Amino acid sequence: MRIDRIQFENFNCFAKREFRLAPRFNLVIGDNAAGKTTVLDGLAVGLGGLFLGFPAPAAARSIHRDEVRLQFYLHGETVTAEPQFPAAIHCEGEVAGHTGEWRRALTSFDGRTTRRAANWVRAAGNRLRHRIKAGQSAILPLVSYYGTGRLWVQLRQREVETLGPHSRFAGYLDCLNPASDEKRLVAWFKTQEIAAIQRKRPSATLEACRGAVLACVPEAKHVFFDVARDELMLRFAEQELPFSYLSDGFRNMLAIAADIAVRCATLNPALEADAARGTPGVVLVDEIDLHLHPKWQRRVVGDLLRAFPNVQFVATTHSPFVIQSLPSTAGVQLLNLDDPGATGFVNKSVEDITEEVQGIELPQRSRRYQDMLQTAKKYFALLEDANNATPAEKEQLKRRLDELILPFSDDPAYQAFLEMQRTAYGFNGEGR
Amino acid sequence: MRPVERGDAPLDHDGKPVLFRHYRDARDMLIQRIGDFCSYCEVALHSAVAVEHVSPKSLHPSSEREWSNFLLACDYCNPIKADRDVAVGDYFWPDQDNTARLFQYELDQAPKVGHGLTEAQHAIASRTLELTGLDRVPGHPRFSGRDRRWLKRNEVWGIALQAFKLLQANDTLEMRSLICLTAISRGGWSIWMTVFAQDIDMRSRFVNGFRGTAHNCFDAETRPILRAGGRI
Repeated sequence: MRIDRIQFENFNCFAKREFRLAPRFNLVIGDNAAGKTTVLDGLAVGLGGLFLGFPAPAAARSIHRDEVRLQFYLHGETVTAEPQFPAAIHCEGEVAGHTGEWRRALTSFDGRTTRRAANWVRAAGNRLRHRIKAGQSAILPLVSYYGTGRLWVQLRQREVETLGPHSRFAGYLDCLNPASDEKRLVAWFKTQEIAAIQRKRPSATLEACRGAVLACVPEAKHVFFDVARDELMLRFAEQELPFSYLSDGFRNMLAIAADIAVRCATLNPALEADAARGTPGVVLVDEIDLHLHPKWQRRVVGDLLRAFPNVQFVATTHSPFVIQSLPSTAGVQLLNLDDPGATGFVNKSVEDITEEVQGIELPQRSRRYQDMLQTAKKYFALLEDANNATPAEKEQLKRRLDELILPFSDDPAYQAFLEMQRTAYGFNGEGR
Repeated sequence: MRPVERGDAPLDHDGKPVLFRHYRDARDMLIQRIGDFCSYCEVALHSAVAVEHVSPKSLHPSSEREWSNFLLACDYCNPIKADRDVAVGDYFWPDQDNTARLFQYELDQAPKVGHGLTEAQHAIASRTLELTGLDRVPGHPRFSGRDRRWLKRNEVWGIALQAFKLLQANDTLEMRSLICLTAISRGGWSIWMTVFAQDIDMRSRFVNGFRGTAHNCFDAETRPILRAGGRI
């Protein structure tokens, strides 16, 4: 499954807005309240259309009443808020090799989200369901949404349960709920670990999930369920730590990677070792940099792309490190909600991204930089106006400019050259 | 603006013109042919180099991987030119015309359209200057704070003048070849040509030393002449 285009109508803050999505990674940036999470929520509604044709626990996501855009009117001193209908999400995308369009809309306050215009995607879902019911081979697409509420901080359970045989559709349990549940994740690991012990040979599915998790958690050597301790453990070069002891950053990343991998394995068990690599689908991650150290922020996009090569990601961020790390390959794009035209991010410093892509002036650089530009402006004006400026005036301004340029030259050789000039002019490093 | 000779499309092992899978793949070949410099502002690019499409790839997809449509451009010139649908005839191009005749360079200043052009040539040269914003310095209405080209130009002027003084004090062959190497590692070919305007030996060193400079644009005294096949 893949979404190529999504159109919002009266959905949260968007009166009318359309986005084209790239097939691999879409990084959504923008000011607070620009609509980053709204983009993900809208995608969840669109993706949920597939579940109209699926059995429980896959559950379609309807448009909630509080997601209908409000138009505010001022009457004298009173402000009124009027909901605008229809609130709608229109998607164009791919399911199981076919492309089509569908739309979900809420047309009145007491109505339900319409499914009539979603026939195409519902039928695609139905076809998959019939094949699965008959035990035929069919690849089920992964769909999963990780909101900022993904805390994965459940208190340690008294006992980790195991899972009995279940339907492949169990891979969609709560998948559009942005809050996350680690219980099932841990139970899955326990069941697989025990089953592998009993069969006396490693389980390809379990190993594939481990591989995907380790690809996304730097420095971890092994992830496993310790039956004696009854806990999910992470092994590093120096020590082993239970999941519940890990820092927020590790827990968050480990849980996302493991959740995606386990869902892939649950949806497509026949793929075995290739479940993570072979399962297509769409994953939404709100604030992908959540709790991550800048060093890790720099690699998270690449790690996810490598671990899940058939998945389309849509993630939001405020972090210049994540923006900077976007690979400049096909299928990857930056969606800037504040400035749809701004796409350049390759080869830029974090300072440049902060200033130019995210529109924030860096004080430590800007004050001096502005000062230098002002002097440069005067100097160039003087050069243009050659008749009215004395050589001494020009010379003086030139020297002042050279002094200001010094910290901004990224070239040590030229800096040395300017220092030399200054010494020759009789400055002694004062007023720096 | 340095006139360059890109040459024919490179050949593969079977002697057929190379088909580039992606236009970026042409980068190294282009550097081999025309040097590691921005084709417009002449700055030495080192690593921050982009393959530049004379006709933008977004509007002319068929020429996206066409060798004859490629130049190299820096991180400032490339985005300013961006996706403007250029009618090739409205501008002078460093791979077709003798662009060494277009502009004059004065201490620290942005290039200006030079003297001695016909009115029509003057108009085309102004458009060429404006196409990549070569005229933008602090104070220009469209100058952007991140544009560092004027700084790079100042650097080259400072070093070229220093080199000129050093050569006057110590005119040796070694000094001459060292200056040429400095010039190549800095870029800013036109500035070096201007500072050493009276020194035919240094000028021919720059013409020969900067890779891919179009030799047919100069006479024996390194004076720019009409380029064969070009409009100036």
